Amino acid sequence: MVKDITIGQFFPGDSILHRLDARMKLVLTFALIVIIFVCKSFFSLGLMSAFVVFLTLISRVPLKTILKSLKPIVFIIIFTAVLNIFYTTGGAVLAHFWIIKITEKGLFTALFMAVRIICLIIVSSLLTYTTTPTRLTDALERLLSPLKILKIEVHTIAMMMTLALRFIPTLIEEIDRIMNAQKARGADWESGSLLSRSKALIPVLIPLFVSSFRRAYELAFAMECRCYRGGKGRTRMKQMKLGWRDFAALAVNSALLAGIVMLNIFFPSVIS
Amino acid sequence: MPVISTRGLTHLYSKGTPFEVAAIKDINIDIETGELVGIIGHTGSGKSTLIQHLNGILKPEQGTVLLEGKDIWESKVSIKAARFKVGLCFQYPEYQLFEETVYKDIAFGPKNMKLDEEEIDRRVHKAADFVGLKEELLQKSPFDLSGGEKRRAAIAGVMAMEPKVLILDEPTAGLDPHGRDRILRLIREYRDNTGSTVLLVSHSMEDIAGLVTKVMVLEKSRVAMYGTVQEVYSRRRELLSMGLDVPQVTRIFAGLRERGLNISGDVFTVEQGRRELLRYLGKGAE
Amino acid sequence: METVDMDENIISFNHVSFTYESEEKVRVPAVKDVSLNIRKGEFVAVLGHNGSGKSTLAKLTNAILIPESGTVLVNGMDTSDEDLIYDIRRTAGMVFQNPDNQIVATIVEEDVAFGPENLGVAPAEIRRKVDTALQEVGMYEYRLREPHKLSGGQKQRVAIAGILAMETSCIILDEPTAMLDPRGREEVMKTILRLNKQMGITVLYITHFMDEAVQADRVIVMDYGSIILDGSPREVFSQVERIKSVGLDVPQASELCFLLRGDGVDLPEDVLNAEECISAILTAVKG
Repeated sequence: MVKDITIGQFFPGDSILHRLDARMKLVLTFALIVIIFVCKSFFSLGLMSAFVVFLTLISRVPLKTILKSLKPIVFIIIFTAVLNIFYTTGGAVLAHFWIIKITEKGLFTALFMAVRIICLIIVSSLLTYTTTPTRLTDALERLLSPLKILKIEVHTIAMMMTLALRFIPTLIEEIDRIMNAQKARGADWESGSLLSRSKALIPVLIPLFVSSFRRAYELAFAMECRCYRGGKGRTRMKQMKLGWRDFAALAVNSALLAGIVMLNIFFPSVIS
Repeated sequence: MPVISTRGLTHLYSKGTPFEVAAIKDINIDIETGELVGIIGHTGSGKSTLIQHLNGILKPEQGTVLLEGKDIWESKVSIKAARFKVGLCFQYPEYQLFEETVYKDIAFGPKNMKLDEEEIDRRVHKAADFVGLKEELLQKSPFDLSGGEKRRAAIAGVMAMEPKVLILDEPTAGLDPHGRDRILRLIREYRDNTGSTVLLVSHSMEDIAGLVTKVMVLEKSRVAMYGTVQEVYSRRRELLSMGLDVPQVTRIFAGLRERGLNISGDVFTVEQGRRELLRYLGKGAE
Repeated sequence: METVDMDENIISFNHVSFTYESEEKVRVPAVKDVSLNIRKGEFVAVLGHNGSGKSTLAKLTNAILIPESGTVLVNGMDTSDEDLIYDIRRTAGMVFQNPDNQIVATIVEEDVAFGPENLGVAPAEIRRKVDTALQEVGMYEYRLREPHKLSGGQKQRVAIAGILAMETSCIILDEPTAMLDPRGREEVMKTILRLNKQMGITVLYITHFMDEAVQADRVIVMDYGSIILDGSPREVFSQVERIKSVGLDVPQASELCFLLRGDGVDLPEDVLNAEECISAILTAVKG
């Protein structure tokens, strides 16, 4: 039922990717995204794509699930490709009807862009597939903690994120309950004009807001009673430690970057 | 003809997955007009699922729900009508209040029924009056009411639809004994005054003993028992095997019988117990 | 007057009063001149109807609310002293009525760790305390679960574990079972009774359920801000009329005997459960 919803896309597993330190994963994902943009030639992009395929395989996340993450952006991929096919010109002309010219460069650029987007999406998805939202927010908190020097409330922001994650399933259940209760009194979200359907959301949103404020109020008391005083002096039960796998991943990524730079130098660029 | 019936009613959760579970399975019930039915069962027995089928919030996987002999899912019109003919009041109904004033909130149901202003006004006042909400409270924001008042306002909101069948899911949840007694009295009066059928989901065998005309026991997705209080409560061993038990006073009289007293075991409320013992002792009750 | 050894009292109320101000600026006295002492290791149930002041009493105990007049001492510490609030809450932990609105983390064991983390306990030590606490409440197998997938009774046990992990000497529970089903209520009651009996943790248990109060060492009944009864369950529940007049339940056994006494049947005043009732009636019938 609603209770079975897992937040984000986490796919439980025991692969090497699942076991990497979340901080390293965050940093490397970011690095990979940058590296994707560093690729300039088909060969460097080809190496990158091979690496992405490799990551997908070792994550042991089923192909079907990975393809699911691409579904929402299929339209963007096609749109970008089409745009490039028709508007990027250069090199030999492959087809010509009326004022529309399809050139070699257009086709190559379109392909390049499409592959790039796909790599981007898969890399980011792999992060969320192999890391629980909790670990991610933890990792973020620890990575950003040096920012405390700039008086940025890193701990508070991380706490807010954790609480949000904790309460999303609870709130979803509550929305379900409220909707059923209002349905039982004849509320209808399915028929009628857009305006009347939007108005029909009020009997759901208002009770939700009211109860959320009450929740927050009670939660604040409960936290205070457990001696919560913000981030000062707090310790954490779960410690994050980098292991050999994490350094290996770092090494592999660095090698990848080196390889891509080399391929960029020695082979012609597709995009300028 | 029973006012509400089900035939082979089944509902599955997580269908098609390895987690598929039947929340209710092959339920066949017939409830006559005017009955006050107490529905008992543990969390997970299927109580909530069953009642949500009776007003069409949930759609059956298999089987039918008949309201006055007709399938409620026959047409879009019939399902919409079923919402209003079978009024369902959820647990902790005070959490669904949302309007600017108590009046408007109670009027929400009748308004959705597309009744005219005069009729809505009549119904709102009637319902508010019945649950004991004073006139002054009608113009206040529902969020300014006390907990007990909020609950009664929410119940009034369902009563204002003047349903043929009123279903209340644990209407006494979270209330103290005084609040609980008040609500139960209200429910009894409602049924006695309007002649509507009332279904009341409860956890307490003791609460409903002196109140209802029929008891329905749900267990593991099926209806285990349906009968009068006397019929159901006398099956103590079965109830115990389901993790339920009879009221303390019933146990007391069963114990007295076991020790040889020639006394009736059909005692389900303290008052019945008192009268029975006095009868046994040859004294009349005052 | 009996002098009570001050060291033995973990919680002391001394002529405490507290008033709420409602929306229309009406002052509602919630607690009126209450004095009471709770000894270490006691299991005290506070019984009362909604509005009797019992929840206010609980909140005054760990400085959520500060008395208008009088003092509340927790292990000798005055709750009105802002500097001591942290230490007071390390001594007296609180479990609230709504199981959801006190769980903070996305994983059970991380929520139980929340308290010790706030206290700056060393990580390895926290691990030990969390595991122990979860085992004490019987939720160790659920330690990696997500809280929203638990039943109400399980959530409350996790909340109790969260307080246990802080190793407080006293647990205050404010109507912890009001929103639970009978199974959940039983779970919570069994857990808290065991913690009291086996670990000697002082328990202050606020409720309106008579069948829970009956299991305590001592029952305090409140009505409109004042304590009207204070004694063992037997002493308190024998006052059937008094209890019913303040809108509370007594066990059916007690009520039956009470009514029959009124009809001239010779029955004892302190019948509390079914067995006692059966014996008492048999004696009265034979005699």
